[in-house]
Amino acid sequence: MNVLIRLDRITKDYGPLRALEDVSLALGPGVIGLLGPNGAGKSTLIKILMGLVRLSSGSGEVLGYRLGSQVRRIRARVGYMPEDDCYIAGLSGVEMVRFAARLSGLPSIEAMRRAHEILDFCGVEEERYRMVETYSTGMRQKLKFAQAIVHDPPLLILDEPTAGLDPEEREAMLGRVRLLAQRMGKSVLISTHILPDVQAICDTVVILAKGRVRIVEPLEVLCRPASPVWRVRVFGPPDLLLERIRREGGEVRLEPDGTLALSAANGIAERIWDWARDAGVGIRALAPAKNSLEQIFLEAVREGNHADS
Amino acid sequence: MPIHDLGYRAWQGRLVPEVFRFWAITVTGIRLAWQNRWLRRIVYVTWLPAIYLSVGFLLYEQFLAKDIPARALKQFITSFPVDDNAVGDDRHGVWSWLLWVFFRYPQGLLMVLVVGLIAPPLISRDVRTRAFLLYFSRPITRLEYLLGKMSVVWVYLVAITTVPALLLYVAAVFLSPDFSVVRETWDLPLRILGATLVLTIPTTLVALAFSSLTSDTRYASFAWFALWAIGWVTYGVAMASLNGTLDDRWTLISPYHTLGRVQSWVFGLERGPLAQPVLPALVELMVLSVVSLAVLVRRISSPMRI
Repeated sequence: MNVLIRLDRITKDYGPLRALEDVSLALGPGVIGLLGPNGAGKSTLIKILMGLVRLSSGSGEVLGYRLGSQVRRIRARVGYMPEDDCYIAGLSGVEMVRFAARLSGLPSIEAMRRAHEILDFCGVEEERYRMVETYSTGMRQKLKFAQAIVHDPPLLILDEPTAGLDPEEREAMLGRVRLLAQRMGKSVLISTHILPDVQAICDTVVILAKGRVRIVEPLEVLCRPASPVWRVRVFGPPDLLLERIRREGGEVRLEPDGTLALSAANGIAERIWDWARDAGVGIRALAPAKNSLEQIFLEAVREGNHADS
Repeated sequence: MPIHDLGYRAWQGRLVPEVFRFWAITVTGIRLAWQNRWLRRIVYVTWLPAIYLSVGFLLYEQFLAKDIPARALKQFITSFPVDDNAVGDDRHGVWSWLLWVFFRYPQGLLMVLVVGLIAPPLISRDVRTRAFLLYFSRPITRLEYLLGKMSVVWVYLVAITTVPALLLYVAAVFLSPDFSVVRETWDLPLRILGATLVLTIPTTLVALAFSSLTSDTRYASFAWFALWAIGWVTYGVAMASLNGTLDDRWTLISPYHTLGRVQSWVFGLERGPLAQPVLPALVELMVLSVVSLAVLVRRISSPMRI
């Protein structure tokens, strides 16, 4: 696997407080969701990746460059969108994005051209000529995103990119991230509390709790139940089909929303069509069941708390 | 979606070499500072003393040509270092004195105002808006950040001191009888650069250190002006109470007078048996610079620790 981020037994202490403990990770390209409750160490981990804070112990690499000694090269190839409300006072939106491009080394005229192009992409219209101090939270989020991608980095690190956005803007932001990942081949590390965002765009999930890594799995694997289950929804009452499945020896249960959860053993999915026809029931939906990310997250955090106590 | 929206496109181009990255910070800082109407007015005013002193050079050259008496020079500036009996062959000394006067009095005072308008917001504003995260997530080191910010102040200080002083020297050469005076005074442009270094390095570092210590620009401005005012007042009070018989070491309590001492040494005016040692003043400026630099480095690093 082409490793994007490799961390080896990283520990970070802020005085007596241990923010990260023994964190080891090897993450490949794709969209990675970094999840964890408040104080889990997500922002510290991101700041370590950006070289903004020093490691207490351990080592690591980002895009093949060593943390600490090659931080300048890392920063040149990473676009970082901080969670904090931060901006360069006294500049208009387009000037701020241009300034960010200049700091990354783009020539002056090219930086201005690129700033306009990226602001178009981010949906910042005429507001780009206003002072950033006058921007709303949502506009600032867009601006922070724009400055993170203006130098066309191969890796984006986004800390709470959808915080403070209305539903429409949130969807648009996720769409941009998805487009960058799928069409432009960017890798993205997203730190967020919003689980539907992770489910919407991430390939891999990392769950941190109390400074330790609890889970690193592809989303698809993570959400797969321990034993395969099919979820069946039918037109009308499901009782007839339920009875028929039980009669055939299938393991099934009726969920409160009327969905049938069917243990998928021995090609049962193929036979369900026949049983449904025999029972005179139409199948509306048939899909493999998934675990809820929220449940997985809560369990991981709970396990982390138990392990510590 | 606007019709010119091209969507996201990859960018492949040649990057500016890393050593010039700090210049982006400088250019932006200069532009932001220039938006201040008061700064623009003061910068224009700072050129008036150069015009005034060019008349001093003209009168001195007239005096050497015996067209006017020394009295006329004294009317122009009472402390003009020439008298009626002097043959006036110390052109180097007089030119040095005029250039020192330019640095010491009008520009020394105007410098305090200009730096007081430029420097306080330079770092305090970044502290307030947490702009550090944006700077240091770029391929910029803390030293380059600092260099970029210091260069903003340097550019303005050079514009109000070095450039007019060098032009004053050029004007003096043109006002003299022939270009042979360059042989006699060739070192003065170098002394101007030396005086510029003495002026810019400690003042910039101190002003930026104040700026880095607060997120409120007003406090940094207050501290800057207070530093100079307290020095002036203390020195003035001490001078008045001792009827002007103050030991020369007392100049060390006033940054303004300390700067003046070192600059007079740079222009070669501290000569003869009565010359006071310049070393204490030089050491004071160096200590001030080193302490300010230490504060700056620490304060610039601290926002990243949380």
